[in-house]
Amino acid sequence: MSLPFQCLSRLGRGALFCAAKGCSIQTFDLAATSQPLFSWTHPFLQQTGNANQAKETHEGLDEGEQAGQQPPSKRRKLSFDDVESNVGTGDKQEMLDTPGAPADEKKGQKRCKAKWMTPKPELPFVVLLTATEDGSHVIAVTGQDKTLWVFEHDGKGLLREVSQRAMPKRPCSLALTTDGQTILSADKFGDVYALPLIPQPDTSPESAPAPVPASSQALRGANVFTVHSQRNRRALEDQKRQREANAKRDVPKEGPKFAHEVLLGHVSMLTCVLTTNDSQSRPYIVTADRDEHIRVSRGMPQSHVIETYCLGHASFVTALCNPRSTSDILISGGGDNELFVWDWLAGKLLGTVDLLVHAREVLPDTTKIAVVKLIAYEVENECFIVAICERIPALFVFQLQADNTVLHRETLKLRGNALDIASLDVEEEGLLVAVDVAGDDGEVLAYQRDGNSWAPRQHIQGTADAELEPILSREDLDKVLYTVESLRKTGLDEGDDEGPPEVPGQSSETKQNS
Amino acid sequence: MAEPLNKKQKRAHYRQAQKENGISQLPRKKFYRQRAHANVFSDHHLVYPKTPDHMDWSTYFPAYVPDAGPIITSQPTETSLPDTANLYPKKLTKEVEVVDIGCGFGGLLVALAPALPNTLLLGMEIRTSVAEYVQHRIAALRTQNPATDLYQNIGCLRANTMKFLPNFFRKGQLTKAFICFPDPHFKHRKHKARIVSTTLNSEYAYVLRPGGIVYTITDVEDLHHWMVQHLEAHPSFERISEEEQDADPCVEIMKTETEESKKVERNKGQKFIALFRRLEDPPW
Ligand SMILES: C[S@@+](CC[C@H](N)C(=O)[O-])C[C@H]1O[C@@H](n2cnc3c(N)ncnc32)[C@H](O)[C@@H]1O
Repeated sequence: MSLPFQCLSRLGRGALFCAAKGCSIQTFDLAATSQPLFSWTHPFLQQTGNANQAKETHEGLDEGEQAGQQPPSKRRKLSFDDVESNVGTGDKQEMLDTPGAPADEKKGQKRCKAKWMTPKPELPFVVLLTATEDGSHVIAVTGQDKTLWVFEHDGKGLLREVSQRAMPKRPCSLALTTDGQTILSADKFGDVYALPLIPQPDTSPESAPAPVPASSQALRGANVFTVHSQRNRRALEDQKRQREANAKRDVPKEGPKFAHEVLLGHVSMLTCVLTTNDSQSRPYIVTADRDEHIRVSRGMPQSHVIETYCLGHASFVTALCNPRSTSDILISGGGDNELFVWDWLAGKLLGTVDLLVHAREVLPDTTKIAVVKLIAYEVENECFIVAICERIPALFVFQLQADNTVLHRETLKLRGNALDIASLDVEEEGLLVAVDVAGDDGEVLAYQRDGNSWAPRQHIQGTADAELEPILSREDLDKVLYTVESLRKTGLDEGDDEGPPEVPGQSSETKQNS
Repeated sequence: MAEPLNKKQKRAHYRQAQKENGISQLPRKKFYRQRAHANVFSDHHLVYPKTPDHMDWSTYFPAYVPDAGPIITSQPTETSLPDTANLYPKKLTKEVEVVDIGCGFGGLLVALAPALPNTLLLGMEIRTSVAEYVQHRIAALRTQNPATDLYQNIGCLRANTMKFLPNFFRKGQLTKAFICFPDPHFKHRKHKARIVSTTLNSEYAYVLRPGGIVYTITDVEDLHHWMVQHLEAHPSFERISEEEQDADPCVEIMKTETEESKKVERNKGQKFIALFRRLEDPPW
């Protein structure tokens, strides 16, 4: 049994697409063969051979080609130890600070259960995959090492690695500006960074973060004139001690060496970023977060201006979709039972459409859903919205009517859970879905419009290229593949309330002023 | 068997009594204290409206509830469209225009109430007990001043302003936002928890109308520089000149009336003040 494909992206127009499987990316041509045209694997797995233990040669790959693409100097030296220590310290530490990470837990221990935590030993799975409109570049993010990879695509399925950039925080969603030259990366700390698609060779780090002033300058702490409550005095002493001892440790984390500009930020975990234009071709950035918000900001260079919010979700928002033919409409979904339809520029909710009811037709016991992805699929002047939900083996097809209402048209059942969907820009518009077939190899199914319906036309079976594929228990695999539902707020994370009073018996303050 | 009451029980008793005996007595702060820092990133059990239109202000500003007709507070059901106006709580005769972000024990609100008698002011505080204290304080002040409108224009609610400001206020609704003696969060790792940051300033710009003012005051010099730096660097804000600052009566009140400012006063500490004007958005 090999790993399922977890991410899909079309490659420009035509029948080419790419799919991620574990720590690898493969390209396919639906018009030709069901065998991959090309395969790239994260250097971590190439170096350890099989992450599991086997030390074999890379049979499945053309050695020369691999070498050509990845000058050894570029390879990141990752050892298993690095990875583990990363999991053990870095990432967990990070979770504590993550906005939106439920800091439920009273203390330490339970925090290990923090959301979006990946299993140990964490492997650099491809978690995000997208391509430029013209298919000339593929952008991928591997989760464990927070690295953003850019590949050049030769138009025939061959990918050449152009850059790898380790982001400060784990990216959660990617978008590209309309010109395809700038990558927007939204992270779990709530920030959206702009990065040039192709990094300029000699960008000095100083010139990097534009609107952020020399913010990294340390706040040296309270001065002697600072209020001296007991608590503050203690804090002050602590700070002083700490300042001396930690002069080295509390240095601001050094920012990345490549050009990256903070465009905007939420104090909440971001889940989705999307770029779009208004009728006058002005660009906008739409961001969604775990705290039910959808924010509409102006595009660069005015991304500091928030135009409006699309508010109304009662649960996290994870998926946004903006049909090209009716780009004034935004569809959103997440932890609510419905999909929401917006006039996004006006911040106006136009309507909602029930999705849970259709999920229950597939799995009758379903009580809540978590939308994983929404795509618009346009064919013959009709606009369809396709939704997938976590751990539901089906595609839900809706139609966006001329009056902007959304109607359920069809539910296409699958052999396993849908992990990702993408549409192809081919004659009959193909719909791709990555399916996690329990107990079997994962597959990519290609649907075609068939009269008024859709029919599966092609089927690509993942092959078990064992030596480059880590073996994970089903449980560990699930932790990597199914992360959306964990965004739901449990209501169990109080933590801060009814804590001890700040300073017992501090009388000076209890005076009343009347 | 009367065991001595522990602190928690005492506190519960006190608050129960407070409820039962009515609200004419000013609350005692010691029963409302809470750990100094709340985690601004965690979920808490926060209550906030889905949108500003869903906010029912009637309990916070009862004197501003329109006379005619009952208040309809039913929330729209999940599947209905929101354009049926009667599904929203009724609007007040005035909207909140001034907020005190992290209002603590409410000294600023109480002092500003008579100074801005025709404006609704809202304190927002993340710590439950502290917000509750301010609510009880306002209720008591209102009862103590029955014949006047005094203190009818101030309210306080528990909220995490770093996440949910746009849930409470429409774009451009506010004219003033006070940020008084915010928690300094000294460590670098905690900087994202600061209440002023370049990215968060966009949210202040969103809720403030052009011409609106952000007031900042702190006794931590470095934090002052941080706030100045980040607000000045933000294209939606410009620093207000010292002359104009000194001429603003709210500045003197902010300097002397918040609980923190009194503490600083007692300790003969320094106070660093900076005001910023919300600029018009650039042409687009
Ligand atoms: C040092 S106190 C100052 C209180 C008051 N402004 C004064 O001057 O007396 C800072 C206050 O901000 C509150 N606070 C911190 N972060 C907050 C947030 N995100 N939303 C609302 N209140 C917050 C804290 O609970 C605390 O009461």
